[in-house]
Amino acid sequence: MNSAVKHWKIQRYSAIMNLFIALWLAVSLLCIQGNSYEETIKWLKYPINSILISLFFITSFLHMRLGLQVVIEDYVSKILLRKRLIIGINSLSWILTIISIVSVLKIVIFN
Amino acid sequence: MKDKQTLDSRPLSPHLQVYKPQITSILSISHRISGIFLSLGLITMSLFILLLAIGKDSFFLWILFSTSFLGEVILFGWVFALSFHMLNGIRHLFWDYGIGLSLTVSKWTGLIVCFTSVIISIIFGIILLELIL
Repeated sequence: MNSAVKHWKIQRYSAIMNLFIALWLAVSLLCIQGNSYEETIKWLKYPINSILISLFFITSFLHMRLGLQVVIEDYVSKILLRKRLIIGINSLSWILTIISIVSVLKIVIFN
Repeated sequence: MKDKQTLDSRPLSPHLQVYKPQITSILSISHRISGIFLSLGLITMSLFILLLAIGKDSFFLWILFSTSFLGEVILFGWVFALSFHMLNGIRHLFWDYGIGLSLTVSKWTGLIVCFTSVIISIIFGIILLELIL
């Protein structure tokens, strides 16, 4: 598959997944807003919550990375700067995805 | 700086100032702005989960942020941006299937997206206030 086609398709698939997952997360966060540390840990340790929040980080950072790349390609005309910005955002989103999932795993296993 | 080595020959997006603002063009750029704003929200979400994983003391930072007035305003901004970006995103997905592309229909769906996202944010905001008070 052509890389542009792949980009376009993954952007749409992640959008459809986010429709459900981000809605779930927004409602859940509203419910646990202002909760104490112990209550938040307890919430996250329910398997359904830990699985969905991990999925949320994967699909959302994917969606963010692809979306910001298009914005940069549209508005940054200097090729070198554009490449650096895209590489920076790609790295940042992968690093944050890994950090978030490791954090969820740490809480589920050790807390 | 304007040599061909550093500048791309591909056309860039039209300059926003040149065109008369219309509901369709405003919603298009709002989709991007809300997307960029939501990126910050997503990064903050990963920070939230990291602070939670580190321990009780670091999570206190999150509680401080999310219960402060500024924090509440920013959180509400993300709720509004998310509801708008989601609803307008549904509109984009329909467009990808060739549905609703005509001028009148896209104007109407655009208006519906605006009103619905405002209403959803207000409902969320009221619930948030109820929880605080």
